[in-house]
Amino acid sequence: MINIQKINKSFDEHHVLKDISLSIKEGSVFGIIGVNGSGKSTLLRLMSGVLLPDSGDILVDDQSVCHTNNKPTHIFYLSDQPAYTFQMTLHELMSFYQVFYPMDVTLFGEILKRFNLDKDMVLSKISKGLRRQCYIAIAFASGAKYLLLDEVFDGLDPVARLTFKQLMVEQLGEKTFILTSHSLRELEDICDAFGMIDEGYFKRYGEIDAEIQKLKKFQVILKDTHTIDIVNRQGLYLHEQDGRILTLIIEPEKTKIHEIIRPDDYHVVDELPLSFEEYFLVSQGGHA
Amino acid sequence: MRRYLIYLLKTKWLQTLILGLIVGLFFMIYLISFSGEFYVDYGTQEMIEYPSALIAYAVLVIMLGIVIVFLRFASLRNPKEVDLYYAIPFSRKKLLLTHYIFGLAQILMAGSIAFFMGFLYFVMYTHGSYREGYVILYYVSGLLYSGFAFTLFSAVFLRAKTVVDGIVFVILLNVMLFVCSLFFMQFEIMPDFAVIPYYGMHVLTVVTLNASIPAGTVLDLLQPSISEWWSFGINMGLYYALAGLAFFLTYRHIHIEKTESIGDISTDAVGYRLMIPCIILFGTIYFYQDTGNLFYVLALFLLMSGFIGYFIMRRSFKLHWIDVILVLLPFFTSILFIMIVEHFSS
Repeated sequence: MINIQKINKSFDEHHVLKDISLSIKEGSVFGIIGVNGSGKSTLLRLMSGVLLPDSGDILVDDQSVCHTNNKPTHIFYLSDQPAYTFQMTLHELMSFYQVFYPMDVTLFGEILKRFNLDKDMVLSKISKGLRRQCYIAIAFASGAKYLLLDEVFDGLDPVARLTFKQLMVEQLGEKTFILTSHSLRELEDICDAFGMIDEGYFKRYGEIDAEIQKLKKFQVILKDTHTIDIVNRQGLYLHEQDGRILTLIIEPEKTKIHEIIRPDDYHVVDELPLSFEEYFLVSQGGHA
Repeated sequence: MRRYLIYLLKTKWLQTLILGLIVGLFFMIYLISFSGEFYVDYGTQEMIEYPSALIAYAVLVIMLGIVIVFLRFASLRNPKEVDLYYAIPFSRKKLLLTHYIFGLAQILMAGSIAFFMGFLYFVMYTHGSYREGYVILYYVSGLLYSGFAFTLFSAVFLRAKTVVDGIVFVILLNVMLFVCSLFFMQFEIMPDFAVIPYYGMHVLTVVTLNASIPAGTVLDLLQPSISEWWSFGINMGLYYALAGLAFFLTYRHIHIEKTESIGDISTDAVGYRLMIPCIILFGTIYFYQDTGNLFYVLALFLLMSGFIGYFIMRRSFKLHWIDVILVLLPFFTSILFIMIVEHFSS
């Protein structure tokens, strides 16, 4: 279990993470989302021990990763910009990690095959996506229980994305995945929990399905095409009118449709499915 | 740590071999160029010219030590590689120590290759006439100095936030040590101790030569200007202590180092902010004493170099007030110092 306890992190004057606390259950797939610069990568780098917090602590299986000289071998961090050196082959990179992790060399070879990679490929001569696939293979073969994967879908083609998701499914339960990505559709498919960082805090977090259920998207067929008056209330996240079609996203716990528009103004209301991406956009104050 | 050391030995052997061969090649070229001045046998008229041809070995092996600083620690100052090295389950202290130990091992291996390449030529040229004691002592002293340079410059390099700044720090430190020692020797302020650390290398050469060659030979001419061996010992001891302390502090500091600042501008107090003012201060005074009318040109050169140094630090032509002060203050302090000295001497 990963326990983040009141983490604060600043870069000069910029307070990126403010009193962040979070628990991530073992065996779960946790997605960290947020706009650019919100602190997603910073949080992962703190969890991996690359960065040190200004205050607070991160416990992985009750062992601190911030204040220790013996960093645990059950955490693997894949950076959003995986490093490589000149003329280093995939196999040589694996050999480097083998020094520090109980690598499963056979599994590494198998995953490379699934990605159609050759162990003698030179990292500096292959594309960004292929390099990431190589790192994914190392991550899975590392024997680490917690995989921290930053912008993991970045540069992966649809086939590689599918292979990666299959690998995750195969190792689900054995490993805990903490991912960041701007590809919310991918995260929606694989994550069972998420945290949305905004202005240094977790603005929203929990299980994806349960959180999405908190918002409702409605399509309202209006009686007339003229722009109707909307009563701005707390819990109304979006209203867009296109002719006689009005789209609303609301939080039913806080407001109801009839509190926003008068029943005389519309014929019928249909509930539409809300995607995770739409959920993210309206939560950030944008348009779905 | 042992596993990582073995990994480095296995993966960097070619690099070590190439370094050894390059240094060895330079050493041999130097020896060939000075062949006529070799020590052939005691009692002959031929002698080792000062500085001895073999001093080239110590100089080359120290340069090797500096190159190995860059090779071993550049990855810890490269923003692209920091995530890789600091995320592995290996503490920063162990990482630093392993790279340091392997760096020393590389100096030993590459230095040995270079030395024995030169030694081979030396033996062939002198038809086997050589002194084992001289050779072995000289070999050891060269490696010792390289180890010292590696230790000190590793610590200085790691004060920087980028590889380029680290290289500049190492160059600046050498210039600073040189200029400071010139100043102290010029005014005869503890001249025995003020000499640059490499000075000990020359003294040690003479010690090793004298220790292995019978008295009364031409090599007596090589007596150093400073005859008190104890001052040489203290000088060496001081610089070794400085190197040891610098590295120890780096070792302690790396544990709490802010990784996010790697790649930023290097505003560390030990870097540009200390070395540039020191060079301007002591350099200006030294130039005034020794360069006559050329002083104004050289002083201007120092002043401009100071500003260029801070342009490099800021990576911009926009300097902060503190940078301008750190160039002008030591410059005018040195002018004031010169005026006071002139006043009292007249």
